[in-house]
Amino acid sequence: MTAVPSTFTGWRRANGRVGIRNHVVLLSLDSGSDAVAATLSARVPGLTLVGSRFGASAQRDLHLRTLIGTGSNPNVASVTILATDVAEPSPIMEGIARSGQEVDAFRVDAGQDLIGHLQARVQSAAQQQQVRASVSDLWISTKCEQSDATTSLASCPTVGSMFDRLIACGACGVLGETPELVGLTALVASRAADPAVAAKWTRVRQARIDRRADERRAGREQPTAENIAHGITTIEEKSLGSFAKAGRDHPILDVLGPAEAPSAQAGLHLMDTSSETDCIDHMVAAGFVVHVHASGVAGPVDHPIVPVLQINGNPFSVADAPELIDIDVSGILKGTLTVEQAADNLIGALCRAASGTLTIAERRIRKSS
Amino acid sequence: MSTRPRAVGSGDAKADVPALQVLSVTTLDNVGVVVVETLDAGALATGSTLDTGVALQIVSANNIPFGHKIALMSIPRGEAVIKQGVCIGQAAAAIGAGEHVHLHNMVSRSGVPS
Repeated sequence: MTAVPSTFTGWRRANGRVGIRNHVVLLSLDSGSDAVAATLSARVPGLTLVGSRFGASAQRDLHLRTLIGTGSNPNVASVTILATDVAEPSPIMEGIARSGQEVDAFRVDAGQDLIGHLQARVQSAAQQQQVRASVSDLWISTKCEQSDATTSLASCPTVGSMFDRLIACGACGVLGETPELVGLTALVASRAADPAVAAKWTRVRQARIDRRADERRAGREQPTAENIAHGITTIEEKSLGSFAKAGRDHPILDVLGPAEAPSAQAGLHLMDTSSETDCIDHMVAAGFVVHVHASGVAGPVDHPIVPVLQINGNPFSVADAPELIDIDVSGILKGTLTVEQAADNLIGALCRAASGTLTIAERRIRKSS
Repeated sequence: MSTRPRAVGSGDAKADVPALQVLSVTTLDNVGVVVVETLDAGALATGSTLDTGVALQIVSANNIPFGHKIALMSIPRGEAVIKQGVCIGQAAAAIGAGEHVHLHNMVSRSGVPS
């Protein structure tokens, strides 16, 4: 096993957290301001546009929490809110300001003032001094996608091994996706830090089971039809693969609500999220700064402010879509790579991404914008 | 695991090592996973146990696709199906060694309504 790379360069924020990107965010709150925001981001290079559909949820409080958390994330240098109506941004602006983040709000008709303001924001971000930080400053989220035997045997255990090692160094981690963890309740509960956390898990699990009829109507059975085609038979089997991301060594300190920030600065956490991509949005809104995505069949996955690293252990997916995969761990199934060696590769890639190397998802976003 | 060949890089798809056809994870497992495109019926498959490196051999009773499970021993009806050392369901019918294990002969034990 190689030594864990222990430092990276990032940006230290007013609240003490360290970001690994320095996004100057232009946050558009309604469809009326989306077009203006797109024009502005074409005029002012260096902005990261977050449109009004971002974080949309049927639950208004969750949508607000997602926008506030995203704007407050340490990967963000400053936020400029754009809305058709000035009254609208206030709760979001106040929420973001509470984190110590630089934030302003403008109406769409602010014109030249707004361009000057955005240019100043970009310039000030470029002048911010970077600091050397330690892996203990990293907050890492994870999710799996298109689960199959290879996520269960290769990519998810590699993520678990990465957490075993980085959390021992003081990093903070989160996994989620309650709908696919419900099959192995005792296994999850056995990792809870104390009985109160175990009881929280039991409540969250039961609430998800109670909503299963709705999930089924929405075509989101677990295991999914694709999972079954790929050889996963039962919900226990799916849960087992998914929970491999939790590793073996560290207790689960808390079961967080979606987009809820952990109170501890270090350790492993579970978040009550869906198995859809809004899971990533809710983890980022809780303050996680880098995301590891374990896929069975690789697909394009990204986030506007957080680097996504895609890890894949399926030899067919690796052959079909190498352009989507940052870390290839298909050697585990061939017997040419151990999970520990794969975790070395993942940790190396994480530290490079933390120091500024763009992930495949980030390069794709840049090309398309 | 230290006895296994070391990878020269991530993935290392071209390493010249004997191909594994079936992987199990712990010695408790009574099913393994097929890791070649298709395991043909009647084929003698070789494999390995990830935790211990112990080799395994099994004659496949069916054509089994990549990622699907193969019984490493006979599993009587009602007995637990064990993968990665954990019960992932039970045999819904008597399963013979080498048979494909999936929806047709296995069910959940979780009690979670599907």
